[in-house]
Amino acid sequence: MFDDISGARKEGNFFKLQNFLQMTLALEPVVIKGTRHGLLVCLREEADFSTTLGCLREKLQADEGFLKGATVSVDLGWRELTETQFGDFEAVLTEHSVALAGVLSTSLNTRTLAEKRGHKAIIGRLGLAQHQGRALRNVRPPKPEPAPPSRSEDPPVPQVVKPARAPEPEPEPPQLRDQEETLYLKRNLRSGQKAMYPGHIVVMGDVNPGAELEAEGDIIVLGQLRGRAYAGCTGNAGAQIWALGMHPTQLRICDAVWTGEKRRGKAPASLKAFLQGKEIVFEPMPIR
Amino acid sequence: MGKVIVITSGKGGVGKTTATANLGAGLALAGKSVVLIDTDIGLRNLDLVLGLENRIVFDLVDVVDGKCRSFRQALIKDKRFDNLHILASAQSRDKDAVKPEQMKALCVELRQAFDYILLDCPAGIEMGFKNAIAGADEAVVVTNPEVSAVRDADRIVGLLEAAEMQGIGLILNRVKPGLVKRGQMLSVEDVQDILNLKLLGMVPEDERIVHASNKGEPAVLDRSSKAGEAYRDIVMRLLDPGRPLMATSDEGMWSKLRRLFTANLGSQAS
Repeated sequence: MFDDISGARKEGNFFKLQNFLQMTLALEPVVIKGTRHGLLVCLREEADFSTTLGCLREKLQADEGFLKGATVSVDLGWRELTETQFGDFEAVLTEHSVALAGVLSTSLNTRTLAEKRGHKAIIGRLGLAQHQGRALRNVRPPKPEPAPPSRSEDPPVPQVVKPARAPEPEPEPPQLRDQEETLYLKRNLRSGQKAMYPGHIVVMGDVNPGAELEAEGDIIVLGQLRGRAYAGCTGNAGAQIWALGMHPTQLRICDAVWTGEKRRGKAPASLKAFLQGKEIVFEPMPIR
Repeated sequence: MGKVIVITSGKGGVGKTTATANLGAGLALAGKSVVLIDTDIGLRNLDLVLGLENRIVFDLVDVVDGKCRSFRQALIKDKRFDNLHILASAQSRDKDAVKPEQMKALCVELRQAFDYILLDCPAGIEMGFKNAIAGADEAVVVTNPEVSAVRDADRIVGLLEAAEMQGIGLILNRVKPGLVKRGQMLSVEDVQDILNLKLLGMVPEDERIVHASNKGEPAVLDRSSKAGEAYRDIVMRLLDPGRPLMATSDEGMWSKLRRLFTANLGSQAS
């Protein structure tokens, strides 16, 4: 499944859900990945923080020869940290002489906290801690996986799903295409708040008038879209905007603009908007 | 230990000062010890609407600057009530004269001495607002059922949530039930669609408010004022959060009966 993410999609949602459920049974709270740009420490959001820190300490200990003096970035995903927790995290890194280059987080509070403490913060979530079983690239740790191999190499159930998983590093893990990265906002956006993301944006809540969304990809609002939405902001004409309650003050897709002429009457409000030629058109969402 | 509540709105002129004065007076009538602080530095008016302007010697800026020994010197007791005090703002300074840390420290001191500390926040989202929310435990957002007021209130709620303010309540002020019925004014549902806050109460538009301000007498003291009655109800709800909302329509008995019949017909049809 990991060799071909798009393959899994073709199998349908049920297969993916099954995989996901099986995967979550034996996931590590901390995964250290080698990326093109450097080492990335991925912390799984669901794990309890002190367990996560403990696991991080173990890993840094296990690979001390290799990681000492290195610089890492950390992917916190949607996890929100308190000042104390962040301080403890920094302390664990310092203990093992590891420097922190920056923080990836989809939480504004966490990014603000990171910046306050003098680190660079970027919006985003790679969620690589979910994708267990892929080896580091461009780095040569003593073992194929930075973790004790028995845990992530053959967890009992996912064995069924990944039949060809052998304990040696994969030659070329699939690249994460930026266009598929999604920002999840699990709250309402109030007037004056703006979310910008080089990917898709999903809002699980309302977007009030005066709030703005700007995405390079699609915008999906699982609530009332009453503010402004700009999809495909870097020129992606295939971007779409879907909303359960489509009442925006303004929509933009790529170069086209739709200024909110109020729709009267009992027209369905769950609509999707997309470009047809140079105009933005609406269609009811395909839900029955 | 007292509670510090900031009364804010974003938009100006929606009724924050009136609400502060009336809620304070109402809480004092209910037997609590209350201090009202006007944090609108440079444009002070809380003391005006309570008719206490002449007695102000020291103000908020004097207290934070240390010009008077303690806040007790600057507090003015309103003689009409058992335990209502006011700390007026400075008229000849501006909003940079006070810093958020100073407000926080003052609120900590006042919490020891009073049951309720109400802060009248200035309009806007700049230094005045930041000062007012610095020491507050809870917030009350006052707004009118009108698009620009609601939009500004939404902005303010966003800022309050970002400042991690617990307990944000809503007072919908200057409601005209007749206009709402005719669809010419936003209903409370329309407002709550956007703001989604705990509703403390709705105050109807009342001519007597202007007269009360001019006289320097809070409307809660006026038994014939509908706004006063609404404020008294809101005070009861502040003290007992589970209290059900008061009906605020000026519907006559006949139209209420008619509604009852049409509701029945509707259910029969379906």
